Amino acid sequence: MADEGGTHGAPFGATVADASDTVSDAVLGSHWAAISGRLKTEVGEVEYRTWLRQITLGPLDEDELVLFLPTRFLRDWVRGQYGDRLQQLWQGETGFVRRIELQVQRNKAVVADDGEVMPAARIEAVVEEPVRAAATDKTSDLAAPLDPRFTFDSFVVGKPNEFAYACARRVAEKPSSPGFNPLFLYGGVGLGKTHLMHAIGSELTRGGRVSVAYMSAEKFMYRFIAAIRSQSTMEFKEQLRSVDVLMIDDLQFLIGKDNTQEEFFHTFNALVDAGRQIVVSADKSPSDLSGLEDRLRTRLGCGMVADIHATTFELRISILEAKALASGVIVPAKVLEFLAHKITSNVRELEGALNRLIAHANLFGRPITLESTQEVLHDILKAHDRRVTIEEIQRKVAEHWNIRLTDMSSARRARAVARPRQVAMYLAKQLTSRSLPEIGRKFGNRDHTTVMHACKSIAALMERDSAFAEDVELMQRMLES
Amino acid sequence: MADAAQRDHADAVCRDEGTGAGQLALPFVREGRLRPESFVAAPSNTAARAWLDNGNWPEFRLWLWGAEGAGKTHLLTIWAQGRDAAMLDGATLSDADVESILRMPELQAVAVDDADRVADGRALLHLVNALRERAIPLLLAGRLPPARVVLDPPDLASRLRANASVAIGPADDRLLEALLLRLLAEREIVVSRPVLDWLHRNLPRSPAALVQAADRLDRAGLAAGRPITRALARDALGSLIAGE
Repeated sequence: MADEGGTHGAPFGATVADASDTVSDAVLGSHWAAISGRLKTEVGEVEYRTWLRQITLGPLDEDELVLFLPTRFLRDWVRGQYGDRLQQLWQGETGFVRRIELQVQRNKAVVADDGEVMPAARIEAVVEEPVRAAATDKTSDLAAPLDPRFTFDSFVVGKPNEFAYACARRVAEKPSSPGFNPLFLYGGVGLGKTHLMHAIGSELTRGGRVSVAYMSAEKFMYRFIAAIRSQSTMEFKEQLRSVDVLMIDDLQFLIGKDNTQEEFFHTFNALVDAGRQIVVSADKSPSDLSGLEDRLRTRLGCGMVADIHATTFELRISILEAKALASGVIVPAKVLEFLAHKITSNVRELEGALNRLIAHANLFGRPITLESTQEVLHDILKAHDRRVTIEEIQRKVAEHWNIRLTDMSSARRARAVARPRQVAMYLAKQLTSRSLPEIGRKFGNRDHTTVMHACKSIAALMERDSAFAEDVELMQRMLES
Repeated sequence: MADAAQRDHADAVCRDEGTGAGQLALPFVREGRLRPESFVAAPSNTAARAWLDNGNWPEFRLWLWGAEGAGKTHLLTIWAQGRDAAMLDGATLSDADVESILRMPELQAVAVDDADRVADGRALLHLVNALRERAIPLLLAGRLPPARVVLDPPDLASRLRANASVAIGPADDRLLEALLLRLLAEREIVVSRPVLDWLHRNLPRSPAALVQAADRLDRAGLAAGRPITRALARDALGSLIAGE
């Protein structure tokens, strides 16, 4: 992490030098002594020792004072629990500190000794990017970053979604056209509403002239509540009303949230009146969104309402082909067809399944086959892992090898009987969590050593005889499914 | 070195819990049992470990699942410590928890245990969405895979079904043996080799049963005030032992 060693952002040396022109370290130190004394009485000795004692003074940059903590965890905790209070105390104590900034500065000795300071480093490359991107966006406090994967080019068009796609494209080309404001996209979970909204946003922001705010209705609500709490609703309203395009995803989440709905309604009107574009998505059409205020439903339905239908087999195949191609991993056509047949719920889960296969193949360095697909996705493909009983195993095995069920517990030692019995014992060990003595008891009170011997013999035989191994594996799969 | 730091860290957190202060739901290490070195690696958890070591999770999420006692919480804790992750309990997860987690600047990663018992699905959905937006890895653990858990709202179900999930498989003999030894050692229960073999042979071959057995033996040993013999074990374990 960039800030781990204190090398984060502007070099500290420079800021310390600037600050020392006005405030000396000794002055800061005496203020800090006074503040930490107050904190100790406020929070108590134990609390202070646990969390606050480890704070060290950092540089003062204009009116922002940096405080260091030795670990990220401590820093986050202190920031969450005491950040505001620390700032208040500093503001009360001196005129020259207005803000405080908590940063991580590890003890140098610790960094030197423990070679692996950042086990998370490997994922960091992936993590950093979108966070940074968000920070440069001026509406970043408010809106969510647009997902660069969700573009019009990566949206696979078919019968079920062509109308919604065309409407989205139109809005991206000519925002606020009569008849298309608001654009209301609706359909079931995971069919591509969010994708289309991000695509509109990406398209519009490409020139850099249009400001777009995309957020889920949920986030809208949380932001609104937070604004009320921090008495900054005016700021919130202004921010929202300054955008050219406002996109609210999953509007159904506002059902039952009357105050938030009210706020949304006013924002909506203000924007539309000012000729700005609004795009909204929900799981149902405006008229079916019961629980939403009537006047809001009416307004939502007065632009373009476009629905996305459930996928067809053809569309699912096209989507999978496009995704497989983009991934650069070879996925056999048989596997794609299998997925398109089996995962019909929605596009998100379909793509998720393909992504899992690809990630698995990359992780373990194995090609994607129909067999590996069934193995990797068995939790989605099978409704449950069956709990098999010893009795079931005995019955199935007896049927398969055409012996009597009673022979599972009989004393007969002819191979035609003994071999299937051993197979059943082997499967009982594989498929149940019974102890070996208990398995033995179910096979005519045999000793656990007999079960052990049976398991060993069958495993050895399976090694030698592949036809036999296939037979036993087939049996196992039958019992499991 | 790192281990000592980790213990201090755990101690610090425990002390805080004792004072009742702090409202964040961040129960880091509740007990010393979940250390990396006490995790028993075996073929049944190879895939899970490989996924946890690898950072490239589709959608930045992974759902870890397996039977009770399979080691989910243990793996989750190891991962969370390595990634400086915030840990949350799915069963009690609330909006307030999610909000305070999301307010943490430079949040690195989040781990949610017992995600299959989530009571407030909307809070979890909010967390899932917000973390995905910020490309922050989220590890969830539950007894069943997302496809077999009833998750509400449907958006949450669909999102969690779209990410990767990896199972900890049924334990093999060697793992069970190592696990039994560890469970007894943690409880400072001393048994002779023959008694150990007898336990291993007669107890059901599931981690959950072994945990139950170790607890019962612990209580019985304390009550009796003498080492565990086979007779004492048989009495203490009762119905856990096959056919008795």
